[in-house]
Parts: sequence; structure tokens; C-alpha cells
Amino acid sequence: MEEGIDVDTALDRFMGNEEMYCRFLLKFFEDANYGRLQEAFEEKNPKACFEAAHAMKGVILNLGMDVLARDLIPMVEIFRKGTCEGAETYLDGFDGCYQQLRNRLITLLT
Amino acid sequence: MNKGMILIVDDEEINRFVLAQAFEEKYETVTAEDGEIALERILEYQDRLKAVLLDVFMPVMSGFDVLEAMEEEDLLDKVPVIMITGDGSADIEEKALGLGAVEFVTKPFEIPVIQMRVRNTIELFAHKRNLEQLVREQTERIERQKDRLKTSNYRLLEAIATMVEFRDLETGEHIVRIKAFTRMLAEAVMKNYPEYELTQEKIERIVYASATHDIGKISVPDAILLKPAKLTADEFEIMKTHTTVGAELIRNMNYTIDQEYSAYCTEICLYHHEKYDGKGYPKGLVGDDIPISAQIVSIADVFDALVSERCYKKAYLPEEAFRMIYAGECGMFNPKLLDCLEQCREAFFLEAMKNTERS
Repeated sequence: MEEGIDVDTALDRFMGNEEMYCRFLLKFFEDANYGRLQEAFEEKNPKACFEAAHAMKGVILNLGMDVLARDLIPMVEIFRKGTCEGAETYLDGFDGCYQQLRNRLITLLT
Repeated sequence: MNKGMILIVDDEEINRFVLAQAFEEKYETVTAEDGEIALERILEYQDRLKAVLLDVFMPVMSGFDVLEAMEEEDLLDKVPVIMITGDGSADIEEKALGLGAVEFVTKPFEIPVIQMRVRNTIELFAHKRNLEQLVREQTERIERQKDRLKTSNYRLLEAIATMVEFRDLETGEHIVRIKAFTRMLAEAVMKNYPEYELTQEKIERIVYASATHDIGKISVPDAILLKPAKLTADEFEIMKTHTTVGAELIRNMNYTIDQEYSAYCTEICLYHHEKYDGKGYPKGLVGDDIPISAQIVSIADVFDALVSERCYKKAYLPEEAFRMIYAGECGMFNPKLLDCLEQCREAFFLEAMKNTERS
């Protein structure tokens, strides 16, 4: 899919259940972990950053949102080391993709 | 047949949904969104759960905390735990394995792989539990057989003892009564004199062993054993050897199944004619140098001899037998045992009367 989502693989994961897959795609953007990550990053709290980013990573991968994983995965590794240093670029990239994908999916699916 | 149950623990709803959907065909699935709820579910469904799929990072209580709590409740032996890890980090896997997890599945979920891993884990775990159960059952069976073997050996020795008794007594009732008197006295000793360290188990063995006290009489010639008059000094010397011969017989049987029992048989055979003041035989032991088992059987034997008819004497009434024992007419006994005899007086009396009624 042009939006950077591996729909085929993800749908297999959902046993072909399209309705539930779409529901979870939209639901992802209601996930509080996104807000938590922003907040924790502003507070320069790597532990809280890691928890929020790590939780999102599992969901993103399961939903096949490869475009979001690209920036998120290196970010998780930085936070895992107990620092926020060097994560900013990834976070910016991640935010951009996140907003773009959000708008696109809301238009497409609602 | 009821479907087995799988518990899925993950704080992300999508992960719970995807896994539940993957397993709902073959299993009943329950979910929990944090460790605390997971633990409640595990406790509630512990008898039905086939596996727990457990996320590591969760609010309230992490997957590691859940593993620790399960270990405390002995639940890890009942249900296999499969960890859901984000990234297969070695640290996390090592920690989870150390805490008792048995398998891992990783995100993003590869459903067919996860299904097979879970199935394999459940089968292996069931296999392991079956084997453990089998070992338990076999062990119990061996224990039961060992007990049966022990009892049949007690009975065998008792049968031999009874045959020996048949030579000088009309029936084998003496052995039955000796066992009854021995049990009553031994139980009184256990209750009143803990310094002798008797236990119910020891008493069982002593009671069985008491049957063998005169087994050495097999070597005493009829002319002496059945002589209806007082023995000469030489004859008495031969009569006395039934103690050492009996102990020797038991020792030669090299009885290893129950060495404690064998030891009681030996000391009872050897010392049941010793007296508290050292005037008994064969060794002339004094006081508590005489093993408590032999002291008990000694009183039981003397009492029964007094109230029974023998080739050289008539039967005394129980009252007279008690009087003679307390007056020291049958040699000196341990005052503690005489105290126990006093406490058993009524029971001894009843057992002795059974004897009179029969004859």
C-alpha cells in the first residue's frame, strides 16, 4: 500500500478479519502511548520514553505500519540505553509520518 | 470434551485480540490487560489453563512480577508460561527463562509460528506432567509392595516362632497374647516415659518382634523343654542358651529389608530374661542397659507364663500374677515399667481372662 502499510501480512495476522483490522488501525491513533512519548521526551525521561515507544512498537509492527516502524525502532534502542540523546531526529520523522498517516486513514476508513 | 484454556496477557488490546483470534478455534481464550488481573485469572482457572501467553512490559505488574508470583504459588509446575517479547533481547529472555518461562513468541506476531509454538509447548508440558505422574504412581506402588513384603516377612518369622512354641505349648496363643501385652505396655511407656523415645512406628516393630522372643528354643532338647519337673543346674544352663541361640538365628537370617525390626528381634531374643538388678541371663545386664524392648517383652512373657498352665505348673489367677510380679517373686523389674503395668492392669486382666475362657 502506498501509505507504507504492509496490509497483506497484517491481514494474515488478523486471520483475514478486515473489519477488525480497520478498527484497530484507527484505534491506534487513540492510543495514549503517543501522547506519553511526547510528554516523556519533553521531560527528558528516557525510562518513560522507552515504555511508551516500546508499547507502540509492538502495536505498529502487528498492524503492519512499516512506515512508522522505520523511525520508531531506532528510537526504542536509544531509550533502552537510558538516554534521549540522538532521538530527536527520529521523533520528528515519526511525528510527521504519524500525522500524515492518521489523516489519510481517517479519510479512507471513516 | 472441554476445550483447554489459554490466558493471553498483554496491555495492548490489539495484541490480545490478534492472539485470542488465533487460538479461539482450538482453545477457550481468556485475556488480561495487566499482571495483577493475569494472576487473578491464573488462580481462578489454574485447573483448566493449558498455557499462559505473557507480555513482559505492562503497567501495574510486569510479566516478570507475574512469573515470580506464580513461582511463589507453585503454579509454574501446573501451567507453562510463554513470554511475548517485543524484540527477542537476550537480557529479557535470560531473565524470563531464569524465572521459569518455557518459551517465547515475538512481535510482530507470525501467527502460524505462534500457533505451533504454543501447541508444542502444551504437548511437551503435558508429556512431562504425565511422566511425573507415572513416576509418582510407580514410586507409590513400590512403597506399597515394600510394606507388603515387610509385613509378610514379619508374618513368616512369626509363623516360625509359632511352630517353635508348638513344641512346649498346646497352642500358638502365647504369641498372640505376648504381642497384645507388649503393645499395651509399650503404649503406656510411650505415654508416660518419653525418655525411652518410643514412637508408634517403633512400637509396631517391637510388637511384631516380640513374637520371636523364644525362637531359640528350637535348639533345646525335648527332654529339657518338656520336663514336667524342676530343671537341674546343667539342664537350666542349656535352657538359658535359647536366648543366645535365638539372637544368632535372627542374625543369620541376615534380614535386610527392615533392619530396625531385625535389631529389635535380636535384642528381644537375647535380653528378655535379663533382670533389672542384674540377676538375669545371659549377660547379667543391669537397669536400662537392658534395651527397653526386651524389658517390655520380659514383663509380658512373665505375666503370660504365670497366668497360663505349663507342663511344670498350673495357671495362676491374674490377681495372683500381679501380686507375684510386684513382690519381686519373678525377679526384679524396672519400677517405671511396673508403673506402666499398673496402668494396664485392667486391660491385662481382660486379655488374661480371654485365655481362661478358652481353656
